[in-house]
Amino acid sequence: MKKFNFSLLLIIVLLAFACEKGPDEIIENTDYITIDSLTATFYTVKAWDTTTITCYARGENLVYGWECDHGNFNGSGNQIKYAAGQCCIGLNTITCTVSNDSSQVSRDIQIEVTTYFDWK
Amino acid sequence: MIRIFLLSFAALLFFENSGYAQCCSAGNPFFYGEQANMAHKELQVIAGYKYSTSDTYYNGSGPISIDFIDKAYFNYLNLQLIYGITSRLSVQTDLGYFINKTEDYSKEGWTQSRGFGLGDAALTVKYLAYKNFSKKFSIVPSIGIKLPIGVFDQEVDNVKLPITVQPSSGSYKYLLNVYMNKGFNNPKWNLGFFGSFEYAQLIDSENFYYKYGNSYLFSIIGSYLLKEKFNLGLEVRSDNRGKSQREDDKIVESSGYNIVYTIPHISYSFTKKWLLSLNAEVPVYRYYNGIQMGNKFSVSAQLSYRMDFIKKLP
Repeated sequence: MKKFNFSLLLIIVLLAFACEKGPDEIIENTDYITIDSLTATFYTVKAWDTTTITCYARGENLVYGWECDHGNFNGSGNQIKYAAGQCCIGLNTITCTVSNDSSQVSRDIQIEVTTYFDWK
Repeated sequence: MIRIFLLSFAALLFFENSGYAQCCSAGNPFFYGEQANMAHKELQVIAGYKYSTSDTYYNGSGPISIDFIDKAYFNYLNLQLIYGITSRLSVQTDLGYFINKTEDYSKEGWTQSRGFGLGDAALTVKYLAYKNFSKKFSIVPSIGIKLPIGVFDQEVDNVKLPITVQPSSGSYKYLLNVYMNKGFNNPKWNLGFFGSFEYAQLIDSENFYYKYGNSYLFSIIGSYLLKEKFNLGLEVRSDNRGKSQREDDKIVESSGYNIVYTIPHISYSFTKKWLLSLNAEVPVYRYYNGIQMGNKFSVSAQLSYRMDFIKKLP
């Protein structure tokens, strides 16, 4: 019986060590990225006025990429400034892509740019 | 007549702030006198440099105060090869490279945007359709294509640069041109007319839907051989571009323009093969649709070398 118990304990210990998470598995778990929100200080701006857009995301070693169909960016990281001239009046789409070594998630936000002249 | 010509030339050369051109628009900038047709088996290699700067917004024809871009400028290199396949047929290639295409902002908290790299390439086929030796008159129609081989999605710190500083236009463009040349009994004088139509293909990518307006360009070029090696030229160019279109085929109201440039030009032939030319682009009339940034001035230099591949008789 004692021999059986010892063997059982040995197996349990071996299994416990065998199941310990290796470094690769830890990275795999933390590579998971979630974008919690993508917000702007203003969703409607006059031509050439600035709105600041912030992306809140969870994950490890995150890199933030930004692109838009019309307009200009300034800055980098999870917060950038956006402005567009009279050329870009309308509903413009800004895409934030958050990535790390093995994952990538994107989310869009739309900013309406209104004419320089008719601002009220 | 020559006095009037020289006086106009000198006035225009130093008349810096009289007008403004379009700056930092997409695609390679235009150079003075790109209409030459080559003789059979003759090759011309032209290396060009152009600097352009801009610091004023325009609403129609008049300036307007906008607090955004303080200064926009570029330094551009161009390599052009023109080869005479036959005595009537020539082929021309152009390749552009932007050393920089930069926007400095006046807006608080905004820092410089700077693009650089390969621009568009162009291939043009020219045909000497008509030549009358006694009347010293010739007509050279040509067709061409501009290829967006350069950089159109340049990023800095994973942030895409604005389209205005991307080196390539990102769009295929198709060209129809005609050049007419008229010589005179006095061989020192020469007159040319150049007309060009450019159709830009729609850019329809994952995040970008845009079509540049069509472009119409008309040019009158007069030149006078001042001395044996010095040549003076004056080009008057009307550059017109229609409005662009964005997604859902919406018209971009603040796009397109009509600008009339005067382009004084001076060239010096070191030898029969080497030629150096200097040009300044001075707009004398401009009208922008809506509000757009206009150019302050442009200057360019070109160095050209001719060689022929016809075997000389012993």
